[in-house]
Amino acid sequence: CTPTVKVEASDKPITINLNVKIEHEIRVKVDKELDSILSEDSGLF
Amino acid sequence: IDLHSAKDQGLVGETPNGYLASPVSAPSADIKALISDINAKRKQKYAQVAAKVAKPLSVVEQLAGKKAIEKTSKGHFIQFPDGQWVKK
Amino acid sequence: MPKKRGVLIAFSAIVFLFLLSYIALPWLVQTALTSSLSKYDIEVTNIQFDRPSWKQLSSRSFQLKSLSLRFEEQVDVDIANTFINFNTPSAYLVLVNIDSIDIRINKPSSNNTVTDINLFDVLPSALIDDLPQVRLLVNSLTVHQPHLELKAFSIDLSNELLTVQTILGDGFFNKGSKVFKQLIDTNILLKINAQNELELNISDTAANPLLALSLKLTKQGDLLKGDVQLNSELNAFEWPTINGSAISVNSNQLVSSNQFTLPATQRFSIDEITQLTGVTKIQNTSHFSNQHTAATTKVTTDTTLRFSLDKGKFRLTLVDPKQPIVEINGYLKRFLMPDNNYKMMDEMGTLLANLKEPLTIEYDLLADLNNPFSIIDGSFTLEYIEKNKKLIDVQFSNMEVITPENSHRSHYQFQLKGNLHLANIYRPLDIENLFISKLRGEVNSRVSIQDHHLMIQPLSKNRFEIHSLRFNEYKAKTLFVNIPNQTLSINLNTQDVSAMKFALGGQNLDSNQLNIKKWGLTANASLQQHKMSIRSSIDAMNLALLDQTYYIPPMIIKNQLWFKDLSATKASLKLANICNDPILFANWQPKNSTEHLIDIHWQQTFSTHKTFRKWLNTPILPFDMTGGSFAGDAVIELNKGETEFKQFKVSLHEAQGVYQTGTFKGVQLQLSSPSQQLGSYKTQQAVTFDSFYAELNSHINELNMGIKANNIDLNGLLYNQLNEWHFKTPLSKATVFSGLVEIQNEDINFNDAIQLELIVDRLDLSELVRTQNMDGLYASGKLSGRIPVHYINGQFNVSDGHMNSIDGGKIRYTTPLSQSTNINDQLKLTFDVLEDFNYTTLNSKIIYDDDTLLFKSAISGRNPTVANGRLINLNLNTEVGLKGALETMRIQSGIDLNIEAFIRSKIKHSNNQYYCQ
Repeated sequence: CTPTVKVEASDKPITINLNVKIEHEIRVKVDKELDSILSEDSGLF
Repeated sequence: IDLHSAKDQGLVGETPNGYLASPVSAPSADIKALISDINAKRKQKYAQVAAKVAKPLSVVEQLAGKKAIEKTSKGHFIQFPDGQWVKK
Repeated sequence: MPKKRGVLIAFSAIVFLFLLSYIALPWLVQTALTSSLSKYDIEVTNIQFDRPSWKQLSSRSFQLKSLSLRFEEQVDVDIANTFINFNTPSAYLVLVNIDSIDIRINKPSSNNTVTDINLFDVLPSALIDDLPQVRLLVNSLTVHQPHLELKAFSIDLSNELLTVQTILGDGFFNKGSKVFKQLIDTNILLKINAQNELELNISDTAANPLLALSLKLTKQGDLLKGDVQLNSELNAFEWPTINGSAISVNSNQLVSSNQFTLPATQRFSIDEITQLTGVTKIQNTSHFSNQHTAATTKVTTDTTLRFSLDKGKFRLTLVDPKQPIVEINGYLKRFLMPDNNYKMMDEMGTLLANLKEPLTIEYDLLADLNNPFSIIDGSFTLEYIEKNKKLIDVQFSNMEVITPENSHRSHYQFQLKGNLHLANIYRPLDIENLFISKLRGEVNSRVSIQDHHLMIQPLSKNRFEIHSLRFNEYKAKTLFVNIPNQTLSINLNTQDVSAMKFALGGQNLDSNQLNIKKWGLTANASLQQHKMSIRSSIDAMNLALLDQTYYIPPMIIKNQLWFKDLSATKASLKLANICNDPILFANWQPKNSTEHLIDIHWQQTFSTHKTFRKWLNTPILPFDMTGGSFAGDAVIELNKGETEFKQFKVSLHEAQGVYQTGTFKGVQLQLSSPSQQLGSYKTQQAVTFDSFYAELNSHINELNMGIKANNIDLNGLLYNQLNEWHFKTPLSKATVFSGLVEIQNEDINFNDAIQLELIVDRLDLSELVRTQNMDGLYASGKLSGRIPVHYINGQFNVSDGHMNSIDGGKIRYTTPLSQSTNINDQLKLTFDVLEDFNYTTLNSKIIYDDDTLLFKSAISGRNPTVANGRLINLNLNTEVGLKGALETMRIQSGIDLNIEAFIRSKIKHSNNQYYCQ
């Protein structure tokens, strides 16, 4: 995510536009790990 | 005997908690050895993942079980939560 | 002269003697008659014999004015005006002409003295030739007890032929019987010749022959053999029926040939006759008509009987002729029940009775009880054919029938086997609107009656199938009844019925909105002292009601009905699941002829072993309860087809459980009917609960969908309007993220799109953020606002929800990245700002659609260490995949395991193992 920042005259407020996308990482994180554990070459599946 | 042929011969199957078990009522000694060896290795791997996401091992085991059952190829055995073995 | 005088004296003595005897003739005749008859124990009780006139004397004819005789003090005979004439044409010895004979029998003759008779001695051939040729004519002969009148009774015995002729007057036979009325004034002619041949002819006044009987007796060694031919032709008479009315018989032709033999020496009383045996062949055809229709019914009988009588034991055996014993064809219903007009089975049909094995009937004349008879063996079939389709084909076999009724020895037993196929049956049982298009049945059962117990033992395959049955507004395509092997005993005095097992089932049973594709039950019923108890287990079925289908799990129903002279006064019902856990209790009571009251109760406590779904034995429910209790009471009034919910209360206590996307704990709920009428369901139109409404008071400790909602209060009114369900709540609220979410004055119509406004008050931002579990992120502050939620066909969306901070807060986000060097300035500035950002205002616009939750927040505040605390406007767009987020939160909060278990258990097990087992 790349925030855009506008800096103007010193007394003007700084505006930051920030877009955040919250992923439900836990399942994603765990998923990837488990995929590697339970794969052909892991010898465990 | 390796894991793949054991599964082909229906001597080993995947269970909902992410570990291997045998659908046969009295599996042979080498099958039992294979199962406990692989399960131990899996458990170690699951523990690492659980630590990483700071979640209880059981959560990871469950997700593993779900994945193992999903990835089981046709003709191999999977076990239902009530203990009943079914060929996929 | 003395010689002459001697002759004169002799002559005068003769004359005198002659005169004397003439004068004393009456006395003479009287003494002669009395003394000769007294030899035969016959007493002359009165005699009036006038002195015959000279003319009569010369023509040798006398007149006996009256003569009364008494036979063995039992029978009195009065004979009036007898003319005896010895001056006869050549053949006859004497001609006797009697005006009238009156016979009175005082008391029945007790045949105590029984003597052996040799039949050969009394054969006509032995008697006729030594009887005097006589001719006797009696104008009227009447017997009084029993009453019989004969007119012009004449006996003529000449040249070895006895001829008896008379006209039959009224008699005992005619007392109230319409049949024998025809025999009045008929001519009877009886001829017996010396060759032991007898002929009897009865003809009516117009000389048409009604009956002709010929008998020939022959000697065969020491046996007497008889051969009897009988022909009868009767027209236009009435045959009385049991219920007092009569069937008019147009014509009846009977042809019968009979042979018998018996030993010549016999003792002549019915119970002393020995070894009488014989064969009778009967062929009879009669045509009946009924006052309702002109069409006639024809009955033909063709049977051969072997009979024997020996010392009181009479035995009759129907021998199997080639064709049916009885064949009835015509309007059978009219014939069997002449005076009612049921349409059923009223087409032209044929009923055949065929003998399969000879039927033997024994009759005991000596038994002191009335008509004791018994059927020893034999079997016969009954077939009913209509439009050449065999509708009834039933066989009665293994017969064993022993009467008399009133001795306990009586015993009826037979086996009934065969099948039924009846079509277009309606109004058979006086039930108004019942229509059965076809009834098919197979019967195989032993039936016996003993000591007022009726025992029915269905053997193999007793099954009845009814096709397209219609009763009121209920229709069933097929309905079957299976009766397994059992012994069913019915007490005929008390009408108690022992346990009876049967199975019922059928295809698409429907009434106006309700339809069940396939249903079945097995039942076990018994009736004791006017109480019927039925235990039936019902198979699982799918019930379609108002275009919704509901899966009804298999259940066990135990119900009891109390009767008072054939109408039910009370009923109770216990419903249980297939594992016999009670589900509900119901009682029914008639208030009056049209109003009935039903009350229903249920109560169940749940645990991890006995969950709600295990209790209702269906995996299909969208939720399950693993704790707490569920109870309910309802009172329903049925009144002429309208169902009214009078009173209604459903409650949950400390309930906990799980559903698709979360778990719930500590649920207290009560849904109850306020005082007014609760709603009615009318059978004619659609199911309407139009004035149904109930108050809902509920409190839920915790609802956890990943996000926890606590202390939920859901109160309001559940009601139905124009068949649409509504929920109206003045105020319902819940605590979420330590803040309050409320809905106020909402009226939700479940059949329509729902528009709800959530009023949010002081949600804690730190709790909200913590659920996202992002390392290093912290935020604080309280948010309030309003979120209008729109729900339409299964989809939620929010277009302009908003939440604003109340009095500012902090946002701190530290991430290893913020220290690294190779990030651009803007990112660096942002991280710097976020390291310790104190905001004064936060206005967040909330949009949700299709799983994407978007917070558009305008946050203004300062970071004292950045740009020396200059004002910063942070426009933060946070996008969250809601479903994934909730799922992750569920895993983190640990409820995912319960939900997974719940979802997996919904998968149907293959071997149909019931859920509660």
